Amino acid sequence: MSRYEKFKESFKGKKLRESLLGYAFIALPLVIFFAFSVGPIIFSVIVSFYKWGILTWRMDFVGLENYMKILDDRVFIVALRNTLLYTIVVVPSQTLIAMGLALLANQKIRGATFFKTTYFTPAVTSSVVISLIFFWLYMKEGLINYFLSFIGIVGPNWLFATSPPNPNYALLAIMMMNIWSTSGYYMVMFLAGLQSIPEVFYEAARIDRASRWQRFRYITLPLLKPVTYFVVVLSVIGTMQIFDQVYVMTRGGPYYYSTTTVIYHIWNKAFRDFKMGYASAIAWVLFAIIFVATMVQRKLVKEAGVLY
Amino acid sequence: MNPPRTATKTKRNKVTELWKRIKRPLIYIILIAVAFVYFTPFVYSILGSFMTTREVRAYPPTFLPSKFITGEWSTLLDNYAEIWRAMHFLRWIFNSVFVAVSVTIGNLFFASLAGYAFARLKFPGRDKFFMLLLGTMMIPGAVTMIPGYIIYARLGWLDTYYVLIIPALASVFNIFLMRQFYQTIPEDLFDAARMDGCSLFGIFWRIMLPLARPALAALAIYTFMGQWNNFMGPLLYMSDMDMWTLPLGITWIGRETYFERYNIVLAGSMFNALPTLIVFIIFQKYFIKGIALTGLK
Amino acid sequence: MSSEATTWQKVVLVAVIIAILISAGSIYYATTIMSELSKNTENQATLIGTMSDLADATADIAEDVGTSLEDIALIQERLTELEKATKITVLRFSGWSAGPVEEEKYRKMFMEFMLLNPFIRVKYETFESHERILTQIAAGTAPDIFYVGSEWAPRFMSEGVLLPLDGYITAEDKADFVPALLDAFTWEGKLYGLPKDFSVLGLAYNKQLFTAAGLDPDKPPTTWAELESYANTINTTLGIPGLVQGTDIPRWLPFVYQNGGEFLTANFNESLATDTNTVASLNWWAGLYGSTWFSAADVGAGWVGEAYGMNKTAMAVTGNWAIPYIKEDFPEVWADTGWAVMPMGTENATMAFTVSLSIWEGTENPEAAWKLIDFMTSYDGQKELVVDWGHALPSRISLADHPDMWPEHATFMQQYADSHAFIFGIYGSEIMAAANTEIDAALYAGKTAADACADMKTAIDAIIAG
Repeated sequence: MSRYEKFKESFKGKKLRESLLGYAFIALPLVIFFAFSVGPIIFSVIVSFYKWGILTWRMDFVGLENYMKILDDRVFIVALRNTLLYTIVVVPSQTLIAMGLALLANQKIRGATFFKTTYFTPAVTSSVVISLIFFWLYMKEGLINYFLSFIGIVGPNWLFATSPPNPNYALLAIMMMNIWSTSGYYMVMFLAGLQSIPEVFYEAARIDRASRWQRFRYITLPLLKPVTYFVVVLSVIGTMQIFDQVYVMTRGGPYYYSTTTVIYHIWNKAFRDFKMGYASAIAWVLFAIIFVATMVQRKLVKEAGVLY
Repeated sequence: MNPPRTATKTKRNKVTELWKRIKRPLIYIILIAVAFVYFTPFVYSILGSFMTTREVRAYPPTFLPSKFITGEWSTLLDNYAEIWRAMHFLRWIFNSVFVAVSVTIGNLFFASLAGYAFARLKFPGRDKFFMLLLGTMMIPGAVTMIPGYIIYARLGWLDTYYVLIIPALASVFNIFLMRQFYQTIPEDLFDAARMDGCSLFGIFWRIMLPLARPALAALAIYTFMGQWNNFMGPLLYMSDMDMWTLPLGITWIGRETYFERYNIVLAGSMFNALPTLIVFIIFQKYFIKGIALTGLK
Repeated sequence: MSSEATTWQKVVLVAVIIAILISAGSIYYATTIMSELSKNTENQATLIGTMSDLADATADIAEDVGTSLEDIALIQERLTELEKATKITVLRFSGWSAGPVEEEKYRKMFMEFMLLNPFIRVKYETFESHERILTQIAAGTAPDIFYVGSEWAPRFMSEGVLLPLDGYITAEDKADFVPALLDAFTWEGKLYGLPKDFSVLGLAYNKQLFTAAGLDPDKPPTTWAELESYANTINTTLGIPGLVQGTDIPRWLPFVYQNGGEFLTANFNESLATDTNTVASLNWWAGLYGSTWFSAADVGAGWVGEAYGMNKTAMAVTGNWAIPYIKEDFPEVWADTGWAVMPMGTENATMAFTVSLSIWEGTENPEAAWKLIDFMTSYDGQKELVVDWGHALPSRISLADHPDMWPEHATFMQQYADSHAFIFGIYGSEIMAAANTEIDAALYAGKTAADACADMKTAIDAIIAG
């Protein structure tokens, strides 16, 4: 049957009922989805070609001007640099730590559940609560500097030390906090991945007298590739969009936008400077970057021959 | 066996034996050290929520609130009482609970319906729709942030519950989860039920739904938690402080009002964190299962 | 199978508990709302009842006395007026909250207002930050009255979303307000809001630390030179920072004006950052950072007031909002603190931060709204809200020497004639951000004042050009 005939078929008799039921089942989510996801997306593209100050409904068409302005926007460059730096540092660290924790916790030891639970706890806590807690811990006279003083380091004023002359402590602080809070979440994924590797592989390897390291390198790692890929993709998408922590802890500061991320910059442009059109343009540029990054990852992974 | 081989074998045996001996304790040490890093912030915050204003900012840091030592139990819950009495706090809790529960119940219903439809019902355009849905997961929230805001302003939904509840009913993630789950149920079961003369909806209601309990449990937990901790939505759409949810409220308390009185801030944070923590500890099995369900494609 | 059943039971149990909690919570909440509502309706019902009784009684008397046709017509007129007046006007008042205490005070004020105006009801909405009032304006659901900060005012005024007040206020009344504040809310000759209060920058200094450093505790610094030398003395003799200040644009601007410089032209369309006096002031101010004065973050505090209260410094340039803060949270330091006006340069100047009560242009009840803001900014209204409470200064000159004013506030109030309002034209927020960037460069990255000001001018002019 041709596609068209199949299509017509699906509207006949019992098939009709099934089709109708199918549509009915997905009706509400689909309507909501079109109204509040697709609609805004299209609208957002349109708005990015206008100037709109939100107080009134007057919108002025400016064509590509918003996009051209992005190139001259010093703050955007800084925000992009911060965001990329953040992603480049956090994603590998997070992935490696999560993998390491999963490997450790997967051993047959007593209290594995306790450890798994403890590591996962930050992931179920609101990012806001974590930010508030760490805001306190990171104070110049706070717990973290106290522990550092045990090993003879004078801790900086993490969230307020202006850089230059100091290095960007605030961004580093947020990075560490995030690695702490989300590695548990990814650890669980690695655990699931580890547990899905059939024992027989390891047994066969042991019979072949492979060393622990060889077992790890030739069985575990390759079979974890799908999970790793999944974790990395999710992490990249997530890290490129952090906002909550910046908003709660540093408001983009302390000096010259040291912790301003692209999303925070969009927020400022839209809701502090009333430049909605411009902010939309930046949002689409961000999307383009994330999209390219994801596609590149896909390509790399396909070339490495991971089953996908 | 040749003699040289025996010799190397013994040496290797010694090393492996040593390794076997220290392996276990070593792993424990690492795990415990890491666990320490993970739970210290929480434990210390809980302690901090009981301290006085001076204690919470003292340096070197106080570890045990003085009232634990002196046994002044009557003042134990002072910070919590103060937060409780603070103007909007009760309203914030109500808002958070109302929104989280509504969205969870809504999602349980609609996501399982939609997930089932995408998995087992045949209708034209099914797979294309699904791909479209999946594709939007990649779009950063920032893109829809502003126009979404405009649409809600036009609809008059700002500063109401609608803006937080209705859009959240169409969670692509949840639909995806349910679809994955239903795909793991063998088709034969489905066909057998059909042959028994069960209606399509009846199959769903009487067989598929009860079967999906673990997936539904995971979905409910994640949705509830996600909504409870949702920050950016209320931040964007609620300007009336009476309509705020808890995370927004305690951020304001932390940064604007009680900035210097961090013990109160911590008490407020505990209000936000403890429900999810408790739910997590009870249902951690489902949490982990839920993640596994999504992780394995 | 059985273990699944028990976990399922657990789930149900927890769900039931949560449901009970929610129902309890909602019942509690609903009852509080209901009782509030019913109280109000009762009050209104009794008021309406009284009014109509009065109307009936008047009509009866008129009949008995055998009034003429004209008199009856008059009475009819009065009755129709009364009928119209029994329509209840609801005013929505929106402001940001500085905490539960302030909210209580406002509610009390609204109660008083409602008692005086029985047919007007005030609904108090609090919001967190300014940008968000835009959402309501954009959606056409703005409150009748809301706060407008001076730095946001130009944008609101130029877009025509505020109601001009010139038709309501008398010239005599207008003259009682501090002129600089009224100017902040005037656009193209029309007044768009009444300043509800204001705050200025001044100096807090620790008398005890002064004595310890060999300075006269009753003679705070009054000139730039004195400020510099006193701070240095304290640095060297006591080893703690002599002066702590804020590091953003509103903290530098007073010094600009004090040096005879300017920042923007009067109509906000050009930056004057490269004016010689302006550059000189930045040179002096930024140059002393790190040696003579420090920031609150440098001493590990969250803001200037806290740094001072924690005894990390002997002097602090801060606003009158710090006065009740130090009094409440740091009583030992409060006892040793002297409050003075800012040290002055060749001219007298300080920064005034103010917020107006403005009426939304699309309001349906302009007269009622005017009554409310008039009430709140009146002599008595401000006396209660501002003077007694002590967190800000009253915007009426006639209250300047009120006996109930805190003496510390009185000191700060002296500067009202010299205060410059914190306002930057339509692109206020962007201009502030650009200025702060250059200030940061001058303070922390060693950029010269001339370069910083030049870059500031370029950036700000670009912003203004759009």
